[in-house]
Amino acid sequence: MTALITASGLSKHYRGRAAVADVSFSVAPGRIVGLIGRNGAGKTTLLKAILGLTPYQGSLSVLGLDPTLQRDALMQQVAFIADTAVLPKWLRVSQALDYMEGIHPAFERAIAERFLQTTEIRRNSRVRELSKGMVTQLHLALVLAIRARLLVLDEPTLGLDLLTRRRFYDTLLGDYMDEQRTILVTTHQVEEIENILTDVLFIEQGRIVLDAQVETLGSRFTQLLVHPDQLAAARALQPFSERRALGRSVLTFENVDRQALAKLGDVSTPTVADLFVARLQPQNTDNGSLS
Amino acid sequence: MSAVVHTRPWFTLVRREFWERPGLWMVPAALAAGLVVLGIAAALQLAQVDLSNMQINFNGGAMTITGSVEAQGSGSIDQPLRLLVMGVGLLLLTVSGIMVCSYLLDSLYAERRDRSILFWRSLPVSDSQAVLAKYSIALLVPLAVYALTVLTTAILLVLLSLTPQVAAHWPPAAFAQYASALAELGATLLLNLLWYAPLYAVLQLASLARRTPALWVLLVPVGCIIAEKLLRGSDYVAHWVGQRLAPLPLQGAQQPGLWLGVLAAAAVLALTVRLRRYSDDS
Repeated sequence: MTALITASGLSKHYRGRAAVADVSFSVAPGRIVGLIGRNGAGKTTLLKAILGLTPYQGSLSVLGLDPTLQRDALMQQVAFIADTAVLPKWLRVSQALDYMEGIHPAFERAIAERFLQTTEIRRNSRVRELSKGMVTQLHLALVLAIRARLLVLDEPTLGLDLLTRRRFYDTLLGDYMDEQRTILVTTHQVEEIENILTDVLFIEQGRIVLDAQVETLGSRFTQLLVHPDQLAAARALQPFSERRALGRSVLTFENVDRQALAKLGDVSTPTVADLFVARLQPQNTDNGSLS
Repeated sequence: MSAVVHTRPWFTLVRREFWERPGLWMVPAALAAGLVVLGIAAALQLAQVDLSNMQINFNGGAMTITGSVEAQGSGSIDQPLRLLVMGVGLLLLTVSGIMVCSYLLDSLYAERRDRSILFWRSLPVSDSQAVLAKYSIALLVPLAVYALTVLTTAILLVLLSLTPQVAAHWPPAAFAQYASALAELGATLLLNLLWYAPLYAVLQLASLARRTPALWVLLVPVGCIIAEKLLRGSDYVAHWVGQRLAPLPLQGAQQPGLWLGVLAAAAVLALTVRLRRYSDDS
């Protein structure tokens, strides 16, 4: 199947500083891709390039379209929620529905209406009268009702309570996702979405430092809770990360035989959050430097 | 998937503007309603006033109909009719004109100020659609206000004609006179929409400023005027700006500046569309 997004040699500089540096990756249809990185790592810049919101160098194709030159055509098939995409305070819920219906060829009002019925949002309320959670629900209702092939979510649940966050992702999976659709999501709360992701892209200082399918993580990465007396032997196998947890050392390995590691301690498959920490956290030199 | 989806982008985009700023239609409508109320009061008053000293005062002097119908003869009501149309029309058009200017100056700024721009941008509306829809408000509002003027003056006339004194002295060509005054107002309005097209476009362009668009609109021309005064001792720019801001009378329709201005407006609009593209990118 042809890729939905293909980036090659993608770069973006802001006042001489590289926000995205020579990035190449592709996203296949039907995937749920987590774009994970720290603040300022380049996530939002990358999304902005994909959405045609910022000029860039390099080549980028989204749904076979050029985001800069064919932005209007692209937005017919792409929907996005950014944490900074604030719904205007003066807008009434009914007006939001009218507007979407009048503007968007792929908007199905009935879907949004059905979703809103499960909430406490009233049609004649203005956005300024809704709580932050309700505004996000409204935005989600509008976006889910677009039959978009690509949904881009940039920190969509920032500042929401746990229940609302959980409901957001449940709705997304239950009402929206199918094999025709692709979601690209960034979040700080990796643990909350790692169960729904099919792919992860780690980005650090504008570069992709890990591009993997979640189902292959188990065969590629091993986490070892090492016995103290085996630490030297474990280090000899060249872990790419080492940290201390509960008085024991946790080492993370890439492409090292799991059978061999099992002799040195307790092996497990790292979660996405574990991997993120292992890949991106500066090594703790107090507990034994790797260099 | 449903086969055919009917969207109405232009209608929806224009409607959106009125949702955000209901004052654009509410203020002229309220003014017109106020005039009608005054008209009713005047008509009631008139029924009791001695015709030899007929005096109707609308809105504190914005429009005055004075003089004695009897003394001036039947044809003389022409002037009051013209005054009625022009008075109501110019009052409503001036108020809405000022509102339209302040609207344009804020049109591409408000969406960044309230940070809703990424929401609007997440939808398939091109920059040219967004810019032109907002610009069209500056043309639609005065046209709607003109229709409102026709309605308001018609109501006022009917009210006046219901009073027995006026009815008795109603000139035979009253309708023709009324219609010609309306036609003149309409023609002047259309001419001035073209005349002010570049001003509207410049105000909208200024609304792309990172902050305080009003300051740009004031500072740039004032800066040019002062610079010219200091460097060359002349004041062509001041003269030109003054000329460009003053409304164009019907006789001015022939002047080439009118069409050059329309061309300039188109160029400024094209620039605005380009600049809006990345206006929130930093």
